Amino acid sequence: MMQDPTTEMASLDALIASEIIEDCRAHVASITELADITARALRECYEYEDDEPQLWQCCGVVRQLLMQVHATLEPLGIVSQETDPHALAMRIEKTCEEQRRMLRPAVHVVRAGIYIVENFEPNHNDQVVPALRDLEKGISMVIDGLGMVIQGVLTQKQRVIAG
Amino acid sequence: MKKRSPPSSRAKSDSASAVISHVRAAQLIEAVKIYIESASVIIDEQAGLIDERAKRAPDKPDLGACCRLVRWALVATGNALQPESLYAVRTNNDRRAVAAICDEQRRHLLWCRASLDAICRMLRTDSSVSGRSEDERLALAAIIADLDQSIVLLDPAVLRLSPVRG
Repeated sequence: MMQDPTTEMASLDALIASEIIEDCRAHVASITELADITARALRECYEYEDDEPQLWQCCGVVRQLLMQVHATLEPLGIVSQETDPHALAMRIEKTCEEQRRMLRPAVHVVRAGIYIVENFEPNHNDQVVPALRDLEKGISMVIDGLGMVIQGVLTQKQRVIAG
Repeated sequence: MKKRSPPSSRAKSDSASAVISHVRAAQLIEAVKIYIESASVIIDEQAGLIDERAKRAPDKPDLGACCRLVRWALVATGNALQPESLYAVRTNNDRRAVAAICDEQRRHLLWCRASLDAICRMLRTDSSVSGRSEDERLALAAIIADLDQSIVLLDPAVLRLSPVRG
């Protein structure tokens, strides 16, 4: 049986979107690990006074969020021939935008950590700031990656409407 | 048919104290949950005020956004402490499982506390990012003090649940 070309294109794009989402999830998993390593470094490299923020614990909130994003994206990466491309596109767009919105504050928490270490800790460890910067960049990359997924979905929708 | 002997007074007493401690733990968890809900509302308000007053600079942290991440984490903890979340483990009479949930959420509250502490530190010491947000800093500092109480209350030992830390 011949498949409707519009449906064929839509399911193909759904597969591509699913691959990008899986890439994003893999990246989230790797930066979650980085958040864990950075937290350990912040814990081991500094002795915190009672009135100083325990920066290593700030990484815990970031890690908690990353783990939730990883879990939330999981169902989006699973597509089949039976998946309704339109419903999938809507779900991908909505979920990815939510995750982007949630991840943006995490960038600022990491940035606050960098700022405190650089400005208030005169003898800061040379490895900690680059690790925090990598974490900041990593989260920003996930936000951009999810933006690309949304853009891809929107392009697909426009093509289907135009076609 | 053999007549069942009535429970001994010792067994009755043990059972009653188990119920009392169970009720007490549930009340304390409920108190923490209510506190967390109100703290998350206050943090959201402070985030809005910080947004209005703080100066935005590239590469500098947006402290209003930082508050929103803490708020998200507090809401997640509140959800994990919902009666229905705890009910599933309570029905199996598995105090260890409830203790594990409380201990995990206690750890999450410590993370929130540290993040609020970092925000307060920046509000206190760096006017280039905070603007004039002294009132907001005081409000967040008050939340930290109250969070400390919640952190103590969620300790499985305080709740008289099985210890889960090795």
